[in-house]
Amino acid sequence: MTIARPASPALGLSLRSRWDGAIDRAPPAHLEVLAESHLAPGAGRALRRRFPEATFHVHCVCVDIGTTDPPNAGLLGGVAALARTLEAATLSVHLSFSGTGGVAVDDLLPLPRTEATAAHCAGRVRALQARVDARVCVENVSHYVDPSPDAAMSEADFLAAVVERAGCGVLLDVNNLYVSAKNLSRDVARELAAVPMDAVEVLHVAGHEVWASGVRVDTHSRPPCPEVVALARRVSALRPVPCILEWDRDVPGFDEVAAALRALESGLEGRA
Amino acid sequence: MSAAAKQELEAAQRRMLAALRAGAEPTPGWVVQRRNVIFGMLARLRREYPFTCAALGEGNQKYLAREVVAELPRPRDLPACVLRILERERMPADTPGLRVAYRADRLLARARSAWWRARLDPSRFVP
Repeated sequence: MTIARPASPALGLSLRSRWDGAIDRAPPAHLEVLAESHLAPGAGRALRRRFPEATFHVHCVCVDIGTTDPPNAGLLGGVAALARTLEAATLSVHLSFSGTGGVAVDDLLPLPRTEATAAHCAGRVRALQARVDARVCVENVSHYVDPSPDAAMSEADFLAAVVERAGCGVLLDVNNLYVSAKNLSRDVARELAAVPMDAVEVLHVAGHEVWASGVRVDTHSRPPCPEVVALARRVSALRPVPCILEWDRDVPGFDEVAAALRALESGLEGRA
Repeated sequence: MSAAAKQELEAAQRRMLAALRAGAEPTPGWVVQRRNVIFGMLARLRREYPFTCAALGEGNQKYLAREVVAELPRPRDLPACVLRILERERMPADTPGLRVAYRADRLLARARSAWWRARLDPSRFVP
């Protein structure tokens, strides 16, 4: 089967092993890789050989910005080497925490939105930028609970505070922005308006599910919904940066994902 | 960050972890957040304990993941935590190959450990 490659150079895909082979024959212009999956010796060079024309984006899922525990020096060294080998266009981490006091969970948990926490996270990001010798992007995560319901800062305000202090970029996950706003009964447009748009360097889009209780769950298990595509279109009009599609559960074959990318392309151009 | 602010942040984070561990918050958002944590642990157990999980079967894997999250071990305590739960629950009592499977997983982990130690903490590895 011939798979039509999306024409837009601004579209990309987060690489999953399910598509090995098929994606090699028709890779999108931008490829995101999960850093922790490619830290083995030679893994970066192998990716470069596989996709010589791709623009790479390195996305970290284990670099904990919000914790007060010491950074994992070995992990950071591996990430830095991978980003250098791939000449990554962006290197991103999540604005969240995954543990404290040596206790760790396998999730990206929301941070209390205070000036002190923003300063703490900014310090960690600055240290990371110095370690990898590159500008780092921080990504907004999906929220199901509000760790600081009485905080004056919104989530986007908190993101902006970290960005301003750290001088870093933003990986704006449009689906997370939408899911969080809906789950916490916030105004999506207000949240979007507070995002430091000049710092946005790359977008994430993905599909989510709605539970019977009404909670929206960031499952990455389907194409993005029309509302998320519309949000991505609004952002792209303001800030034309690469837009990466993520898919992590119920991962379909590459032909279906390529079709989703084409649909996303149409949506971003306002043709859908 | 001042010492007081650091203590305040750590306290807030500990409160959230404790609530997730206990499953004490019954509201829909907390249910999703706890489910995500358990789902993440389940994925990690399947990755780090493939033989044990195969011997346990789907339902017992999920039970094991819930119990591990309830104990929220330090990263390096995970093997002791898994073993403690397996022994406590005799999971499943009628699976004679379970202990063999667990030993196979620990051997697999040791075989990987020299490489991993040089690079990152394997307990934080998420593919």
